[in-house]
Amino acid sequence: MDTRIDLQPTHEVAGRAIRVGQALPFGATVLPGGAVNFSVFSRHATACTLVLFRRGEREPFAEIPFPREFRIGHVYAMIVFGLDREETEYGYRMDGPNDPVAGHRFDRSKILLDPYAKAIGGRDIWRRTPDWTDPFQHRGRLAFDDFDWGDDHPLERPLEELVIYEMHVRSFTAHASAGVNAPGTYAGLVEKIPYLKALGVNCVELMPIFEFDEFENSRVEPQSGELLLNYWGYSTVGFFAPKAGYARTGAFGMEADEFKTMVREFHRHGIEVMLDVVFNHTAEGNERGPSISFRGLDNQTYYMLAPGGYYLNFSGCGNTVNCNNPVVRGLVLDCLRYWAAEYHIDGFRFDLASILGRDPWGAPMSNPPLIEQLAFDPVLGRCKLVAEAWDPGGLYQVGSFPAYGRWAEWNGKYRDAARKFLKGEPGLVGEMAQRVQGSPDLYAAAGRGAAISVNFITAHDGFTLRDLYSYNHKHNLANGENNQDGANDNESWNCGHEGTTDDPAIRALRQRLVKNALALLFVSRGTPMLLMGDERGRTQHGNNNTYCHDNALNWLDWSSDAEADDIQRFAQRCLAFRRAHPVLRSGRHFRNADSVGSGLPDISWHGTRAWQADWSAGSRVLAFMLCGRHTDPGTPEDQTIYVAFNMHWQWLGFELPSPPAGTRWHVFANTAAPTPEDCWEPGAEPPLADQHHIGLDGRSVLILIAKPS
Amino acid sequence: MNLSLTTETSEHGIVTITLTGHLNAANAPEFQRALEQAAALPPVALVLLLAELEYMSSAGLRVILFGKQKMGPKVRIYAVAPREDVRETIRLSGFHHALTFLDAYDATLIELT
Repeated sequence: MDTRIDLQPTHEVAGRAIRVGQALPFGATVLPGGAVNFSVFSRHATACTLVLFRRGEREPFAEIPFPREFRIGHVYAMIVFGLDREETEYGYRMDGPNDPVAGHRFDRSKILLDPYAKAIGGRDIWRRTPDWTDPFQHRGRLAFDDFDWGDDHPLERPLEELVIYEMHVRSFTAHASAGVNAPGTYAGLVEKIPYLKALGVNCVELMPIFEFDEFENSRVEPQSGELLLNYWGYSTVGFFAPKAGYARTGAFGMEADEFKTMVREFHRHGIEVMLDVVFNHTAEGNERGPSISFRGLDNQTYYMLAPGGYYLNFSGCGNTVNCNNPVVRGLVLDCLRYWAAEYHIDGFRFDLASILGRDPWGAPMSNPPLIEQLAFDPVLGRCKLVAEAWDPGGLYQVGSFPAYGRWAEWNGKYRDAARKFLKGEPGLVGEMAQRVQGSPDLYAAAGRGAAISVNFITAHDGFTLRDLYSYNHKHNLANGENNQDGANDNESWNCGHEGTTDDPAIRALRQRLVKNALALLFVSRGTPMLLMGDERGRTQHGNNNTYCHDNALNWLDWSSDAEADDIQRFAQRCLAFRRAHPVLRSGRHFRNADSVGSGLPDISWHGTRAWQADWSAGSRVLAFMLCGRHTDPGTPEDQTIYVAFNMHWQWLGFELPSPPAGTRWHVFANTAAPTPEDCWEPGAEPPLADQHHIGLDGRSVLILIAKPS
Repeated sequence: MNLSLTTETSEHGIVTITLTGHLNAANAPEFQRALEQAAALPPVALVLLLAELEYMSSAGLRVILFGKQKMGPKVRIYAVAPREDVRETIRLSGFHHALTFLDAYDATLIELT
């Protein structure tokens, strides 16, 4: 028994030994000696009761009202003695006004989840049908913070060195063809680390892993009979708890250990772990949604409310978290610090981040305190912060997101321009010249480097890369929303036939267009992001919004397939090429001038004639040369690289610029060439016969490298 | 179901703890005290005989971790013949780094290592 006098009970309420608690930190904290400190905020509640359950039981074993002297300010704090750390689940009942018009929705019949709960039961086995009659669906549990990390620490790779792989934990290994022991789990992901390493990515960005309810709005699709779920998880239930159902050991309450083991294994293999975090809304929805946590604890603090008490909906998901209320800011900051310190997370991608810059009434702020605070926070000091710099409320901030010298952005303009250019639209050459340079037109004037541009052509929202060239239109009927959901402006092209086809010419063209896109992505300055499975031609059969499908529409099919293997090999070699060439990866902006006396500008622009780029409105041709001597200080000299995009549908002859003296052009990639001559291992590039001219097939990409003759 | 626990120390300084029944949060402190006593020696190696252990909760696993940290990296911990579900939980949650699995216990082999 601990003899510290501050760890002895002073009160007995409802038969339980308790003591006045510590207001901070919020949440449930196990103290030395095993007692538990419970602390919860509510500004407008009139009273609070701690409700204690044995694991999974419907009826609580104790309800302990907080004595008046246990509240300090707006915080209820209590130490409870003699609890079983593994078997206890807890929640709160709040008393207070139920006056929605005034913004208050207190209801003492509800048992509420602690917003700071570090482990959450109730959905700890994936897809196990919940007992909907249970009044306490999402159950706070006590967490153990004793994981043995050994010498692990976040990798802190420079942003410009990253190749991000956006992935869904379950989708990656749920398919039987994955052949793992623990399919669809954190542990299953660990089994596939060798694949990711061989592919050449060094950062995984996990789609939401905060506890969510896969059964939120679940329904049976009438035509197929398929159960539709909240599968992607962009709807947070608890911000401090890993999704237990993604852990093979979730049923034993060991999801945190399994998750940490996964992070440690990624780090051991040189791969960073970034989380896609959703702070813009919660799983509680609008006026008709359930009271899970925030709504019942202090609705007016946690949500943006319209006159009449209605929820402002900038997220498109029913409610909007009141991110710039100082209490809510504190929650976001505490949450991210916890994941960075306790889970060794390397970075965060903020879903609909522009919402984080809105004031409590929804107006965009010029100097948003939350975004500034995250940028300067000491604990998050070396974490990557990446904004999805827009929101469904119409705020679009690509290039203008308040960055404070720190924030990177999903570059939506890169995606949009690249898609149009790649399918052969005219008028894109000028913009593409900016995009392949790391979008200096968006970022340079503000002093933001090239690497903060996270370049992508596809992401979880929208078509996969293969579908981008197989479908003109979205095919979302399986989502059960009459094809009304999902984006309509996909900038896709079906190559002449909507959907799958046996036509070998169309199939070959699609393969080539996918390679063109990968080549563009991996030679562009900025930080490339690859969508899970695009390197294996993953298809969603034209569905561009597969948020609700726990099936092959989302799962990565690992089966051997000639076309998939072909794309994978191409992607793998492009990534090896990027790794081998520091001129592709610099975080600096080009000067379009010779600053080292090499006789060549760092980047020069060409067309079908060397040194004469065609910037005209009808042009579909862009070529550029990167001088190998223009590497960053401290970086070894590189080879000179020439890249040509013929996005016209016709064959065109290209005059090549001369390579640096003493070198000859060698071919790294030509997407029009038949496999396996479409790309080469870095170092094994064959010399080009004619050093002055080359013909490029329509819709193809050529990448040359100057090597000593 | 309860936990039954016996400890033996060999002349070579190997501590053997046999666990039978259910190891959970309620009786993990008992296991922890046994490990603390063993750590005080300190032992050459720690052998946990788990064939008769039907269930081990996270609290039990954490005690093993505690023992590992208490005894330091030089003292190897062997988990002998755990049930498959216990073994898998140990592995997936990362605790296998703290110990070595054995299918059967052979004291002479451990003395040699």
